[in-house]
Amino acid sequence: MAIAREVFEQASTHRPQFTAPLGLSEALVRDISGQKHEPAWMLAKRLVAFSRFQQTPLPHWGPSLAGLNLDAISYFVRPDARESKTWEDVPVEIRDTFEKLGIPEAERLALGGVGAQYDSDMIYHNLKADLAAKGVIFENMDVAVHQYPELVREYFMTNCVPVHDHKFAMLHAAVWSGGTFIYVPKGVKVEIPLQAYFRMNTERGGQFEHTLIIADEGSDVHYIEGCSAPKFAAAALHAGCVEIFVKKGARVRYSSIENWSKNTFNLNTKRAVVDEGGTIEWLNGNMGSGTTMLYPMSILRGRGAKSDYLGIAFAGPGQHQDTGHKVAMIAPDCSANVLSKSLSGGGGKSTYRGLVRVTGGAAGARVKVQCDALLLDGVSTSTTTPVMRIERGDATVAHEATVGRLGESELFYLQSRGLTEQEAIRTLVGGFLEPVVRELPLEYAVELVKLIELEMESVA
Amino acid sequence: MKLTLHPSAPARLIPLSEDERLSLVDPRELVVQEGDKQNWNEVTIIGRGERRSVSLDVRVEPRAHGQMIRIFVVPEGARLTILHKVRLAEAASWQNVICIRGRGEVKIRRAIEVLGTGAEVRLACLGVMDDFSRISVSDEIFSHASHTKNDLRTKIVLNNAARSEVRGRIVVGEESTQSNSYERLDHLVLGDQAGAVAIPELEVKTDNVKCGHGATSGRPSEAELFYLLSRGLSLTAAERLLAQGFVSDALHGLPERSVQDALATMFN
Repeated sequence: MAIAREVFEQASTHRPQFTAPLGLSEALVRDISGQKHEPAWMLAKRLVAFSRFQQTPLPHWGPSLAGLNLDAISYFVRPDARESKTWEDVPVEIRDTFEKLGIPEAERLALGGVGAQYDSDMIYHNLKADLAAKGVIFENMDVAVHQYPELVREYFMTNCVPVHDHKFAMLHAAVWSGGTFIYVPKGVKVEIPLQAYFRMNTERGGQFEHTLIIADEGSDVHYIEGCSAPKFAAAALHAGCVEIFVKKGARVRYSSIENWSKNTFNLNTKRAVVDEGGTIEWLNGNMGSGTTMLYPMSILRGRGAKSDYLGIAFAGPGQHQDTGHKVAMIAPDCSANVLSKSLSGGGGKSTYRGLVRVTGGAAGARVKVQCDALLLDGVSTSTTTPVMRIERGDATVAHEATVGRLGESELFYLQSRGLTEQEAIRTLVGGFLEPVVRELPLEYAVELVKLIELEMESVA
Repeated sequence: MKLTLHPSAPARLIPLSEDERLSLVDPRELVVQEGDKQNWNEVTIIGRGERRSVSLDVRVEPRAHGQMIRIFVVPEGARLTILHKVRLAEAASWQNVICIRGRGEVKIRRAIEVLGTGAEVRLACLGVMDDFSRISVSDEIFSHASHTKNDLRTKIVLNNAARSEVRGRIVVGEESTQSNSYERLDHLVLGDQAGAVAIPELEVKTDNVKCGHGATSGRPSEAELFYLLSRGLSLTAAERLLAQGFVSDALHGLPERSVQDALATMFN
């Protein structure tokens, strides 16, 4: 797929079927629930969250949210399209957008199932027949509320990300729409990845998709999310939520490349709860959005649970990427490995903000955290704020961080071999990011590298 | 030469509480004169149940060098607060090591402003904390000039149910090109009930710098313990020897007498 900036930043001509007036009210929360014909318990959850949201101030830490006017966002935008199982049934202007993003092609080549969301609704969802035959559920979250009420009621914003978790989790719970529900039965290994792509197309829009993954005992699944939005002058808001339950001996790999436009505030919540012998693997690429606050978290609550985190953030002109990883260990013999890489250029700010918490019950905990930052010029900023809270004597915790610039001798060497300065910089940046990129499937690794190159063009 | 606080990032030295102000003894203002060299080496034993605050305001003038080693014994029930504020001019250097043997409560706040080109600062805080003692350390270095060297190390040994909260912060300002900064916060945890919090922060606002930080928390290595036990040492003696080795590398470069005083106070 040829990647050009216009692919991500051009808005489609599609006219939505319904656009909520700007701002948030209880009436709107009720209307969203009503339009979706939700059960009473879900409406009650939304209303509790909305009430808590109104009473909770904005966070007093992290990047500035001064440019975010919560009264100037449209919280619910329904495209004029019903969810389809074939791309031919998707309205042509929406289909064009996803064709340009390469989603149908990727589905044909390398994916076991695909979901595509446009503004507030899923417009496409399909799972390969052999996976469905094994009992794998891959469904639009709105549909799952009706089709799998017991599972959704038990796991949806209960003890992974409760509705009162923080200001933007409350907002999400009040106005969530769309997203993905995945259930992998006991012992089932999903050999090829499942993917969802989230596209915001409306000016002053908000997207609040909810992803809920339940990997039952001994199962294995790789889920990939991609996100983008066109560039508008007015601010947009993305406050999604990802909840992952990794049961005994299961493994979930969650990969996400977020490439929102520069006018987007990306205030996202991602969390996994891991049981005995389970493994959660996070791979997060954060680019695009003007302001990001995103700290995926692993709660290791079963003996021998494991968390691996790989993260890349790119902060270009006018951007503040405030990202990191949190891990809490509450059971014996847990381990976590964190590798975070950030690039700042053109005056961009990147912040690593992490937490390692080893509680009194986490005997023999082992944690390694490494965060490396590369500054591409003298006007950009890098900050690291890792917190390590260790409540046991037998925990082994190590943290290392480096901040530096591109080596002049390496640049000189590459240029003396005939590379231009920009080619030499791209080569060195590629080497810096290689430990993360090599963990992605080939198609996504190529896409991530191209995205980084696009971002670097704006810095140059 | 008159030094002024840098307007863009003033040191965030926490003011004394009412309780600490009442117990303030020995507030000192020191000036290390241009081209001069000064050393301070002192051992202070706090009385049982005593509350004491010590405050120090230091100015190190161009090409001057100051070295201060302060060793404190803080018994059970005692409370000690240490406040240091230091400003360094061009080509000046300042080395400050605080060693604590504690069974009481200790609070350390140091804010260093590196204002002159080529200035060098080395801060260390070493502690051996016993029983139910508490230690809270917050060290900040603000580098506002080029070619500076900034080194911040904290090494705390936690016995029994001792608790430690350590925060280190190095801010490398836009003017601080070609500077070299390193920060390390380590805990050696010997007590089963002990707990530690470490927050090593870095804020880097220019690219032409070397900057890194690290933090560790853990028990002594099983292999090292086994080696020492197999040579006939008791577990207590082996752990003490490893704890001495753990803190000793932060004493490197100090006068022999100071190293002996520090180790004797912390481990005897």
